[in-house]
Amino acid sequence: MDKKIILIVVIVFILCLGAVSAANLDSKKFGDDFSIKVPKGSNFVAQKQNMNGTDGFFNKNMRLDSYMDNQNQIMILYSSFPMISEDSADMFYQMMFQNMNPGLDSCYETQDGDLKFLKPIKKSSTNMALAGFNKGNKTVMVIGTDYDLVYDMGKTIKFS
Amino acid sequence: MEKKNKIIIAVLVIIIVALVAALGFMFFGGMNPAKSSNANVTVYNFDSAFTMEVPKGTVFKKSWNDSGNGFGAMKTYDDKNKKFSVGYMESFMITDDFINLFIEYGNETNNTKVTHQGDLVIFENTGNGSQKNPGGNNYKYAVLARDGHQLVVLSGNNADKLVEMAKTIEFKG
Repeated sequence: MDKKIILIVVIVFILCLGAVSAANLDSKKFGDDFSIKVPKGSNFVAQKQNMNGTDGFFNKNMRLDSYMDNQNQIMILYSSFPMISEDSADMFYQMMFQNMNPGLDSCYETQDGDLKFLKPIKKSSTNMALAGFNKGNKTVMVIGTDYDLVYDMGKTIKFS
Repeated sequence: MEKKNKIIIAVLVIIIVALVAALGFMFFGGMNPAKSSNANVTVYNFDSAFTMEVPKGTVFKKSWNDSGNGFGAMKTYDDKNKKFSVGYMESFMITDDFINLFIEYGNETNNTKVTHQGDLVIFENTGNGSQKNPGGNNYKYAVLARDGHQLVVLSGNNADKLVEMAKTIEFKG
């Protein structure tokens, strides 16, 4: 009976560890666009670009907003491009990943529902992981050097 | 009831609540499970080129070669558990003749047995294993699915599973 109690306590401890990890993230709204859980105490500096133009290509409402947190080396990208949809978002992630990691020709990749996660095969202080989430023409990407944090944040993305 | 038993029951309730909460999040939260009738698979998007049902939780080691290998850019997705491998290529060189080249080579060397299921071409490596299959690896089977100039090569050691997966391929290009 004692062994069973120890086993149960261990299981509860493991579950609590997960809860503690999740507790280090706080939900944050980024304008009216989306919400995501971010590390407590993080400070995201916004840089917004409206790509509205007068020529034929840039004449639609296109946005690319980036939010940088230097402390955790995390970048969040929000894009609203008519040409990026659920059919093409995965290609977009791959292109971004290759551009962020120009020296790589392989990575680990997995998909969890609408969330795609790409991470370098080997951990490095310069190579970055990417979590991408898309609905319609809206896409959010989390990019950073802490691969577990990128994945954990990616799982919490919600569009408004 | 003994105090010890009460503690055990209380702990069990906590565990069940935690598990139900976790499952609830998985099924009703932001994950939106795969749009498939089979709960054990995910409709995996392969870089917007095609989708295919794969076992849920599959992690791929993806490799790309954008510089070309003589035939065109190719991507490979190797299951981390080494159960199967997926290759994708898009090139103007992928034609009926290209596929027939593999078939003829297999027949001539007596290394490969080729069968068909609908549009799928199934290669069985009958050699001693030293000969690579059309997927470029040493799995026993390779299943080829083609749409125009796009080609998917599924490799593995369980032909039935490969065919089952290949039948769910939807090309996007």
